[in-house]
Amino acid sequence: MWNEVIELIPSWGVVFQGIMIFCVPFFLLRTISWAKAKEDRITTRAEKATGSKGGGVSNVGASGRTSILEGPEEQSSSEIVTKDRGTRITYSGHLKEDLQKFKELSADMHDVNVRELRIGSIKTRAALLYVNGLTDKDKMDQNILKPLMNAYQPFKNMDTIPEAKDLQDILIHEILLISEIELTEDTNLSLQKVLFGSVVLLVEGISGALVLSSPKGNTRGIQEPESEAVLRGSRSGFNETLSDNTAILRRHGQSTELAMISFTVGKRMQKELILTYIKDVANDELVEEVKRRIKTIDIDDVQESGYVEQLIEDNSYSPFQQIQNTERPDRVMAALLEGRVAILIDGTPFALIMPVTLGMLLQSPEDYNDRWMVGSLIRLLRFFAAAISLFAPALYISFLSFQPGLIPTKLAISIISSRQGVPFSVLIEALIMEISIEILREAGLRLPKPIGPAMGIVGGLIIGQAAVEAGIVSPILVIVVSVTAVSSFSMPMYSAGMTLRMLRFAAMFFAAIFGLYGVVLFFLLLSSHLIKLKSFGVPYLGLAVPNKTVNWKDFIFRMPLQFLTGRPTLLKPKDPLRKG
Amino acid sequence: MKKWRMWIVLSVLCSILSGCWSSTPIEDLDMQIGVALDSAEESGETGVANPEYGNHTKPAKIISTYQFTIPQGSGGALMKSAGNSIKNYYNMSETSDSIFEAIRQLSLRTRRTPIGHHLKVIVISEELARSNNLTKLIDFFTRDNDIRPSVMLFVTKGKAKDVFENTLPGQAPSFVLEGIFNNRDRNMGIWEPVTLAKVVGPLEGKRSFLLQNVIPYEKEIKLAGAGVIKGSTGKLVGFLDESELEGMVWLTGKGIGGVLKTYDPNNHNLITYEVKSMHSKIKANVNNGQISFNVKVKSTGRYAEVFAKESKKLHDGIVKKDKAVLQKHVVEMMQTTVKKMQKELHTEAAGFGTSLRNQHPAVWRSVKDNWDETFSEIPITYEVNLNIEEYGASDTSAE
Repeated sequence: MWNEVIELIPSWGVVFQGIMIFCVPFFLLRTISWAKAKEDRITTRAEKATGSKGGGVSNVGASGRTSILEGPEEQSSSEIVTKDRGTRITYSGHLKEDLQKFKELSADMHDVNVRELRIGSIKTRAALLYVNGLTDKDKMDQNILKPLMNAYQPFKNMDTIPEAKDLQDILIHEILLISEIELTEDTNLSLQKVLFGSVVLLVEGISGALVLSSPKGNTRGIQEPESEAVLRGSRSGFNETLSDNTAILRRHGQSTELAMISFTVGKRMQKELILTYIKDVANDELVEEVKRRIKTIDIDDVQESGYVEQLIEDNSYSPFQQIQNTERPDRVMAALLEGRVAILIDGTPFALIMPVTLGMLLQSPEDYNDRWMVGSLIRLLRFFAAAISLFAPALYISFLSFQPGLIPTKLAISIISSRQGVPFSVLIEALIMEISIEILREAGLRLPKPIGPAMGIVGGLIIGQAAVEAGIVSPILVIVVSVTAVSSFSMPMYSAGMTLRMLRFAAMFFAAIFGLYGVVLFFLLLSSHLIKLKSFGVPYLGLAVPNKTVNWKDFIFRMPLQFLTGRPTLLKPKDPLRKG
Repeated sequence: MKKWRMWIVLSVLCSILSGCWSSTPIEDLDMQIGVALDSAEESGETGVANPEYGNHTKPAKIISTYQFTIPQGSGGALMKSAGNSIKNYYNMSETSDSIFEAIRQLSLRTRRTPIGHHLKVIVISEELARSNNLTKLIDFFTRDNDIRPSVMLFVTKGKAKDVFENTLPGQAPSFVLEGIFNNRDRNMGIWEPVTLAKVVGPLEGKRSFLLQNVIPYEKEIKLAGAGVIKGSTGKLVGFLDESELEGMVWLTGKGIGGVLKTYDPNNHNLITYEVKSMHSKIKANVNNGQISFNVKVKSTGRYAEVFAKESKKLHDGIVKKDKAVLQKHVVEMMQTTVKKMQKELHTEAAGFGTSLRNQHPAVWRSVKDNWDETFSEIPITYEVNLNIEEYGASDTSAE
């Protein structure tokens, strides 16, 4: 009887397998959750969100703002965080003293100029402070200097110098021909404005500085976006100036619902950031969440929107981008109308769109500009290209080294004959070619424009041809690699193409270790990651999972426009219908 | 932080240590494309493996000949220049009573591993098929995971090995055999391709069936009729010649297209009819326990060649007359085939049994155990309806 029981006890091999089956996923899970906890601790996102630590600051409703004339909503006046600066220096109303204070603050900034003058008939002493190059001098001469010095009319009936308050009133309302005027008592703030291109007017007797906005930055004109060219569609792209960019969006069409909320980001180099959405479309919770995350940004300087993207995205360990970046205003507008929100930042032509679903990365404005059949077919082609660029080399490796039975006989014969004399294993062979293609791509990017195409020829033709003739790689691989590379470039979003190219290498290793089974495993891994991934609360596989037929109307196929009546339901827009 | 690193190192190690687990680079593989099975007793050969080595006291029964491809050269240039003149296959024979052992014996002789994924044809010699149950012969091929169930089976009068020696330069016999079935719309001497998957069922169900017969013909190979495998024994009982096979094709309606040629009995003029489509229906009738069959064949086609004493315009009357002649010829062909099955082979392989089973299941149950013998006595009537749709581009007959 005991023998029967003992026979049932599994051997060591089986026990070991059992332990491994439990332990490997368990420890993987533990490692991941540990890493996640670590990430939270490092960025202390939660703490910052509650405001207990510094971060991006909203301009709207912030105290200390003394705007006198209401400028447009997107005006580029930024609020300063003075609380870190220690003592606050204010103007006293005595010109000499104030000038002295100002000069002390700007002691090591020799590009700050002072122009002293007397105001019109009352001969009150005043001074203009500006920076060479940043200030529009013509404008300053015409609209500030000239009216001030010629100011006889306003003071016609006055014998004495008017009270400070009256003087200020007269200056603003009758003399200065400047639309944006701000009054501040804070010397630091006025210095900051001067350094950003405004002119500061100090007047004897007024205990404050008038900040007159007349900045003239050298900006790039509106040009065609280079990274997302389309054949049919708007040729205009964003440029580096925030006000230009917001203006482009405003000019897209007349609407009173386009909100632009201004934030200041960057602790040391303060920059303006604008959150834009359509008030009666975008979901409130989404807007609040984006605002909350912007406030958590805690960094010296936001050089590019990529910084913001990385600081506010959901999962920084994911290879997929959860925020879309684009240079195209039409793309931003389309996203806003779907109920998404966008972020624009001063100094970069790349706007951020969030939340993002996988399908969006494979869409181009042309899909909608062209007729629907063409648009659908091209979109289908892109899905196909994405699959190729992700799996083609992996399938090549697994077919050749594990599943020769899956290749059609005649192809198998020609592959065998073409691989005669190739000294490397399939993985090494594929890696050699893939890596050289990546190097070529990177090199082509860095090269000056006239040399770029030459580089393509050298790389594509000579290296490919020579490698085949030298017997280092087989000709079939060259085809696979080039088809893969071309497919990955067909992604309308360059960064999405990069993701696929990166994952391709992982797929190749999986294929080399386990063959087709490995490729399937890799696909499952990717799928399970994508299913779990969320972008601002919206599932990343959004349009496909959870499955709603409504969403399929504009996913792989684009139905005719008259059928696209609704906005994507996942975004829970306030107004779910586009029409009707 | 240390823990974190440790896990990274571990996971990387796991993948590196497993390496390219059970990977076999394709260039180190040898693709079997055909197998020929011969009886060793027939020729008296002992095979290549010398029984003097080791204690192999094996009863040498089957000579299995494997055909492999020779992948030619690297790159396109060499293939282009030499592609059509170099022999691109080679055969290796081994003798053993086990087919599996024979294939593993090959590993003593070649560096490259033989793989069965791309096996296309199996040719079995008459001698072997007459003396062995087919189930045993194909057991290895149906059991092996690599070998596809789409491998085609052939029998040959004579030695199977010879079939694999004959081909035009630049072509491998196995591929020729596989591709020859594309001509089914051209000639009715080609039976439907019989694959491993299609053989297993009839063998298990003790149903008789046909295997295409292939013979070496000058320097090539040729399909010549078909071998009949008797269901009850699983052995080859005989052959149908080319015209009998044609009769079988008409009986079963399995043809896609081909030629029907006959002479006008009055003036011995040639009439050639091109078959465009055919359809047959076997109706089983049971009258007081007496089974009889009625075969209805319908076909449409066109004149391919019409000869006459003098050129005359073709009209409905001529068409009607020719139709009758052709129909009579088809009936004769079918009768010959049925007679051969009934009287000579005592095997029914045309699907009469299936019709009876479907139409009169109770009757079938009573006769199925002795079906082949019962069939030999059953009267069969024929109805053929040909429809000559067109004359082609010429509306007169040739002189």
